[in-house]
Amino acid sequence: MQRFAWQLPALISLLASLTGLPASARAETRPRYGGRLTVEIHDAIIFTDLSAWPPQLVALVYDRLVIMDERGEPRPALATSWQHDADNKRWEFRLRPGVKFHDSSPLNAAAVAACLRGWASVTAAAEDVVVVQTEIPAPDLPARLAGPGNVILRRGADGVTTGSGPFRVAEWQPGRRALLTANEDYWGGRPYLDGIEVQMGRPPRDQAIDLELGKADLAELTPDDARRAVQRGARTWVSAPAELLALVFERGHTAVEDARLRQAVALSIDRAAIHNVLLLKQGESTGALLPGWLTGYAFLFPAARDLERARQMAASLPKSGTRIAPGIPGRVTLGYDAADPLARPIAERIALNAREAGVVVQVAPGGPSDVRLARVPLRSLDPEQALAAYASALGMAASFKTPTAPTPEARLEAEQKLLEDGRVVPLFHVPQIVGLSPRVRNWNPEPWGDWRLDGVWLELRRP
Amino acid sequence: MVGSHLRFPLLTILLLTGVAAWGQRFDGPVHGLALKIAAALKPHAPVTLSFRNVSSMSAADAAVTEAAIERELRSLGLGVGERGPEGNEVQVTLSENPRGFVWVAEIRTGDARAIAMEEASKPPPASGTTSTAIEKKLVLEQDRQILDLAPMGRGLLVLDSEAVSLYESAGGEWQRKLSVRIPATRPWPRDLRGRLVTQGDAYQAYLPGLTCNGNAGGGMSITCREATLWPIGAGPRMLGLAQFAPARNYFDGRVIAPNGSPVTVPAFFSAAGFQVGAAPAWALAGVDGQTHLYNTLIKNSSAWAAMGSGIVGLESDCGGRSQVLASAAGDGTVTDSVSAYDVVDSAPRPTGDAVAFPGPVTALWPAAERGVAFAVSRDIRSGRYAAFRLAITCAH
Repeated sequence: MQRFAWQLPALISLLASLTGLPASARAETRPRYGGRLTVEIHDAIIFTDLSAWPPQLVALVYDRLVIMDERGEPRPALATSWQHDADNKRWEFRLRPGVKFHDSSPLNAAAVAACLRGWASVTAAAEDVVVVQTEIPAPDLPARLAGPGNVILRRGADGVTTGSGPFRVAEWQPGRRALLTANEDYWGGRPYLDGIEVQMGRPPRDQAIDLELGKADLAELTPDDARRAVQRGARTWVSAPAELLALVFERGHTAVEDARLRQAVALSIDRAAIHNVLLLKQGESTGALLPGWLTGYAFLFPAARDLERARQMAASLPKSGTRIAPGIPGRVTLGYDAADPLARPIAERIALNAREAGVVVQVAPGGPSDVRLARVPLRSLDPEQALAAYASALGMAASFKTPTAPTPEARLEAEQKLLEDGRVVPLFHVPQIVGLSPRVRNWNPEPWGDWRLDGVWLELRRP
Repeated sequence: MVGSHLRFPLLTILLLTGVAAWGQRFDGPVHGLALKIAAALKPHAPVTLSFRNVSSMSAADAAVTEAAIERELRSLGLGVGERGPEGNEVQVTLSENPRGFVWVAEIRTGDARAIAMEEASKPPPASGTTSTAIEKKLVLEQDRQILDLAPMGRGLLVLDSEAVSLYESAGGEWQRKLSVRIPATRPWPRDLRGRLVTQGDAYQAYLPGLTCNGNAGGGMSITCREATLWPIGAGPRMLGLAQFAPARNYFDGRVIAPNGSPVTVPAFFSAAGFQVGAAPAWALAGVDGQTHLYNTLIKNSSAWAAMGSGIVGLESDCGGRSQVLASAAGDGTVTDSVSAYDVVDSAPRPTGDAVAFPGPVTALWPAAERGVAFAVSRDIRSGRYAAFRLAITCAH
């Protein structure tokens, strides 16, 4: 210590007179605060309609009482702990103290109760205690509260919502652009990023170009663009196959009311060819609603093509426009999202497959159709909640029965029940494919696609 | 020859140990699945049994599982491997989901098909490595983020994200005896950092925007005040005090030297002192991604450039007597390592093997003990934090 003190003036004079003598640049390891991340997405979202938000963005602005970990187990978020009675009907959630909405109003039990009032009975038992009372046992209540539909927010008279998440909305141009800024007082710690700019409604091809030009830090890529990006040596990330592509036969459309026709179309689809050629082997073919990695039993749902049986089914149909016969126009229309670059070729291939079985299907972008190609994101890591969300999104809510027991057999039965009338035909579970700029660090998303941008930081741009 | 004699019993022991561990985990699910399969068939029915493994379970574990299921079915009276007139077939698929393994039995009896399933939890991931030039020893492991630790008498004082705790050794393990909660008044920043300094029973805990004093003798006390000055270095490598940005994870560059003189340097994450001849020199891991060197004319060194943002200078009786420990380049998503560098003529020379960590090194601070540092790592698979004592060893 003596020796060091004696030599210190020399050190101080050096420190004072010299700027640092920098060594060559090196990779940083400790997170760096600052910078704005530019994200481009395909969806054009409207601020007030939370259900239209991509799940990976909801958590940036809004918190939930409970979140799910990677094993599908509930973990504390706004609620730090919870307990229930012996019947699993009365649940008491203790709130994290001191949390505020972005408008500085307190996020207390009254605010939570007001937000969750669609539930059977939610009351504020104390300033920081919320009680949820259900009529039937709800052992999975924390998992249900972890769903993206159960974010805690304050809704103003104008319908605009306020959250408590790591980012606050600073600017919103509906369907075009959003600017999110860091919530300095976030209970989980101020995010590393100063802000996130979300460019909405960006066509996939433009996103790929912007990523290549350095105009975007994070972009959604199609399998084709991802392949090109990888060939260029760009960074890409592929989630677990979590989005469901399915055919949905509309109720009340006479052209598809005959179950044999639905079965003929379903059996005719050559998923393997579509998976290989159009999806470039991304994701997986499926006959199940829930992805196999989530349940472990998706292989029990048949997904193989059976053209012979499809032809037999089609042949058993009464002669009408839906059967191929010279001079008779097709009547089954297959709709798809015209803005989805994958949807059109897949729809066309399905139509081609159906014709091979003897069923006439005409593809039609947008507008009313007898059957549509739907794309639905996974909404929960809890299989029962995810199944309920799929049922709702695919028009099967009335057919959905909560599994009778928390067993895989009961979940399988509930899923089989949903699919037994053949109105929904699961086709593929596809992953999110994301392209990343080199400066994005700490990219540590959940495997199922939650981006967790609050933990991301940006490397300094170097000249 | 001696080696081969030894190898067989060792392999046998390892296999037996593995089977025993397997049994503890999977005995229940195996029995449960066998009962469900048996319930779907007639008593003593002949059945052909087949398996496939589509899970991450190792081939060895899968083989043990399959044998156990078959054994269990036989013990329930089924004629496994026999063909009967009903053509009973059971195919068991070893599958998985995020919660664990899922074993699915498809039971075919004539045209009828039944499904039986059983879930089994997965074993927790294992971690741990060894080192040569740096002696790495696990001190403590817990869910809460460990920020720093310091020996206190025969105990161990630990600063984590919520409390200061005193541990005492009991039966070879550290057990928490006393704990006092840190009276934080606002949320901690991300990538929380903290420093602990002890003297006798007294301690100082440095946190972003907060400095706490306390005593751990005969009970735990704590008194905190808003303050931003942290000590940098330890012992003869004490640079002085530096301002820690209260809502960030770095020192803002304002340093007060031990003689009270203020100095401004670029903002930095960590600092390592080393020797240039008889004179002290410093390396700062800057927030700008550069390594800033002081009191040395060396400008460029690939070894300096390869270091991560966690660096610490140590003195030992090894090599050039001046060592730097540094974490590796990477970010929070990958495993990390700490390497030792012998600083000779201002240039750090890697010495010995790096020690590996199962996740990013979130803290690397010098200990008061000569040649020793404490490192904390977050396991990227389990999310738990583990604190290690790193000591420079002079092994050749």
